[in-house]
Amino acid sequence: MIRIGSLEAIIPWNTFRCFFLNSLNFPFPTKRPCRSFQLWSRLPARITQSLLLHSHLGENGINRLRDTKSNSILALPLLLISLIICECCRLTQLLVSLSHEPRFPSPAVHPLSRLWSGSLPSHDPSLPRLILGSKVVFFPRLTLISLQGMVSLSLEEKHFIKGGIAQDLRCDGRKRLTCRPIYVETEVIPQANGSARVRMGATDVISSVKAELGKPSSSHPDRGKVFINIDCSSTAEPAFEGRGGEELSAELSISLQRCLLGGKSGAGAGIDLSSLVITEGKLCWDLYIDGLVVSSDGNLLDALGAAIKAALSNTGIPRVQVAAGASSDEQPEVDISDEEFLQFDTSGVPVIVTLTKVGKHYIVDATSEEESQMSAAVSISVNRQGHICGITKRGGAGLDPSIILDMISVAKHVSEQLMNKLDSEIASAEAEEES
Amino acid sequence: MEFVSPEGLRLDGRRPMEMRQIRAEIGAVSKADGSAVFEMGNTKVIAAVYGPRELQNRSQQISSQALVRCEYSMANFSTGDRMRKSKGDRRSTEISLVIRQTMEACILTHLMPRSQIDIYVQVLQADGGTRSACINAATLALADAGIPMCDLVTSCSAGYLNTTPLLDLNYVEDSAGGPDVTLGILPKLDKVTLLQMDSKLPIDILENVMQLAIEGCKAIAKYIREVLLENTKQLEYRRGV
Repeated sequence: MIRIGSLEAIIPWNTFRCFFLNSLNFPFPTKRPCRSFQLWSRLPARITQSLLLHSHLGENGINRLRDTKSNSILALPLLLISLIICECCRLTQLLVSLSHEPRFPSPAVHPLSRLWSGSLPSHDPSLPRLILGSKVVFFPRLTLISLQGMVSLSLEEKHFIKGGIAQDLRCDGRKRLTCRPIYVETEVIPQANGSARVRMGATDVISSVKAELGKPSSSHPDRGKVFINIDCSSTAEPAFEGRGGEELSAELSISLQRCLLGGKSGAGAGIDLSSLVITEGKLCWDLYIDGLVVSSDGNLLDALGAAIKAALSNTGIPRVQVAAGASSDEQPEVDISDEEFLQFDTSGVPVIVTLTKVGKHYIVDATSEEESQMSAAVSISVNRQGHICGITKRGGAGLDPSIILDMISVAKHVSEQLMNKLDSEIASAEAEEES
Repeated sequence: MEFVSPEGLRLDGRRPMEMRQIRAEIGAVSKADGSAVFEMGNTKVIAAVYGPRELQNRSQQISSQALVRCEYSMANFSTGDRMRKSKGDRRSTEISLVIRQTMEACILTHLMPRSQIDIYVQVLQADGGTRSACINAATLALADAGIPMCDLVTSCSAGYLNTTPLLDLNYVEDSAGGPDVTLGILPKLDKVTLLQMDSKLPIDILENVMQLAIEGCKAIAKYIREVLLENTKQLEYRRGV
């Protein structure tokens, strides 16, 4: 935040960086990895020296940071860049507030918090201050913001992520098998028969269910039809613009069909297809399940699976009266009730747990940074009885069969927690909606 | 069909000069630099802004100003009847262009040369006036991203049915075939940046309808300003300033 008289302005990191680079007449650093280092190397030596002398940390401070284990390599270029910015706007201090980031249980737990001790100024209201937008309050976030787009990480960041997973303490303070908190909101799309929005960290998906009358296929006259279609909105990632998101959308749609709808014949489906039939061979409900990825931060499949489950439990299908006495080859006349709705039985709908293998270990609910480091991922859908309803493996690396079996047993364990958490969230969302 | 009852009420119970309920929320997409949700009645859109950032395509670089891009898309479930539409059909291309031009007019692009700003708007529910809702959402998202603008551009539509000027048409009124004026203004500078009208309308009535739309835009601008102020206060509070 910059104050000029009574005027206050909060300047986000990206805008600031852009202004800054332009004011120095620098071209944008071109190569992706470790952009901040590049910027540093482009600065004339004279400026860098004066910056170091004038900054409150000085050379000693930076050397001290450099010595505190390998983690600090990550911090160094960012610290330098923040110093340049401070110097540039003639501010002497950069305040980064640690305590207000709610994602971490306690800053003291996080490995990066060690870096801060003693090296940053304390909260002093008399000092001029600079806040870099709403996102740049915490260190790991700062790193990733500067590398926006399809996340491309520097070597140090990659090591940091992998090292954290190996030590069972991930970048956001979670353990390997801990999920992010999950938030469910139902009835977000009033025009649909059922809808839900699910948020896990920065991942945000919406799912809607629409029911339309249709004709059962001739090969399965006793079953309704379910279509799953996923769209990746470009709001989630600029790379999804135009046709960019189609590949991922198709992959997610197919995986969800596999996990929720069972085999081609419809056997083993999580959704009871025979309950969708109105008149055998003539009339059935077609369920159109649409998913939309609004914001993506990894683990889309699990989030979409959860959203679909929540949307289905929110779905009311109108009761249909078929006019009796219609001859056998005619299309029967129907009367769709506006008031009576049949609740959908969702107890058989499985949840999906994706285990992402990074290095030697596997984790649940990976963020997109962690996903960028994965060698393989296995998505397992498990229903309430603990039966496996579908498995999809992604990623190129080969997995030992024994590891896969191990993963399945872990997924089964995790899915129980997830299922319970999801059920209670759905129940509370529906209770809130009614009140 | 009767769109205004003898008592002067519209189909959804509003008065002719009444707007639908508006609601705005900042920061719906945490990964984006700026984002906002904007609702006008049942119409609901999300806008996300990425940038200013490096150009993805260097050949598009403009050395004197920033490149502004916009993409408009509709969710499959956004309309009453489910539809399957691919991205980039004519209607969405046209709306993208309209939004881009409107936003470009208020962004101080010359301050950010050799960079690009992406605006993505996603319609979650469409019930008439998506164009206006998208522009309002985009304004909020741009403000959230901290992109310098000369004013907060806001937009609202107005129509003329049953010899009554109507503010903020919903889908049923919109598809009635009467004139539909979509207006975008810079409220502080008092300038019109977007004006679209279909169907025909006598000139003296157009003046009334436009005046009504301007009033609507100003009311939205007031609301947007309140939302932004509230958001800034929240930010300030969280920083402990």
